[in-house]
Amino acid sequence: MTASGTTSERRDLAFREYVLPELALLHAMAMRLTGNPHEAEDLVQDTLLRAYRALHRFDGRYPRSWLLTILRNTNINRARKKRPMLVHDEEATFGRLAGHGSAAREGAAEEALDRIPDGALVTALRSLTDDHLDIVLLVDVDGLAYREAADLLDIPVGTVMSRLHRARKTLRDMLADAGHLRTESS
Amino acid sequence: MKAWLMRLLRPECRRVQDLMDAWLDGELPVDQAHRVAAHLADCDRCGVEEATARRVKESLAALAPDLRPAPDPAALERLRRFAEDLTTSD
Repeated sequence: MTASGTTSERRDLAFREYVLPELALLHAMAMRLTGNPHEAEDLVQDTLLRAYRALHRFDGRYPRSWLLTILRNTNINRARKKRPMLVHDEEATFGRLAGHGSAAREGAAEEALDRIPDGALVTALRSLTDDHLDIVLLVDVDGLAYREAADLLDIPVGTVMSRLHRARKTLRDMLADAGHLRTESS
Repeated sequence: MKAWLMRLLRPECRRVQDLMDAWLDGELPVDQAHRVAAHLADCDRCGVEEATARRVKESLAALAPDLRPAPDPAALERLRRFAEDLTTSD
């Protein structure tokens, strides 16, 4: 076996270990960044290519963060944007919730689980600024760690935490004002 | 919690309130997590705040499938094949 063959095999192994398990996440985040299925697929393909070429520089720590950083930079280059932002297309973000608030899952199941009605949550989410909605979607809906959300949006972890704190406070205040939460001060 | 109410809290309550988001998200280092857990076991007021914040987070999690970009199995399969091809064509 040649030296380059060994290197190539190691790279392939690392690619399978670190990159392939994150395909679904990369695709979901590409949808968040582009709001368009075709652009998202092209963006993930470019990201995979760049990740494959850059694997020899990757130390194996925080593969998700590494991949989300590549995805972000690839998107900035493709879209010629100054900074990464999620696309808040009404249809893409809330479209599948049409009709909520009056039908579907509202009612007995929510009461039994002490869940806040979907319609009230969606109304509160719509009131958030784009920056705050980004963080709530990435952390509470997509399940990203603070560091991963920070890498995707190219902001410090501390900024993720402060935006999340303010966003959640806005949500709680709105839900309390609407009578869905009891708080000490309400 | 309102800002004026925060100012009335005991220092330890205030520290725990500051750590509440990271506590709920599992982002605290072990030592700080132990400290928050111990305080919540003893402090009713912070316990209520935690339950309220957790209820919002869990309600959002229940709504999550409808707030995520629609998964496309065909696109994922194409991407998986693209990725597999990268590892064999070099």
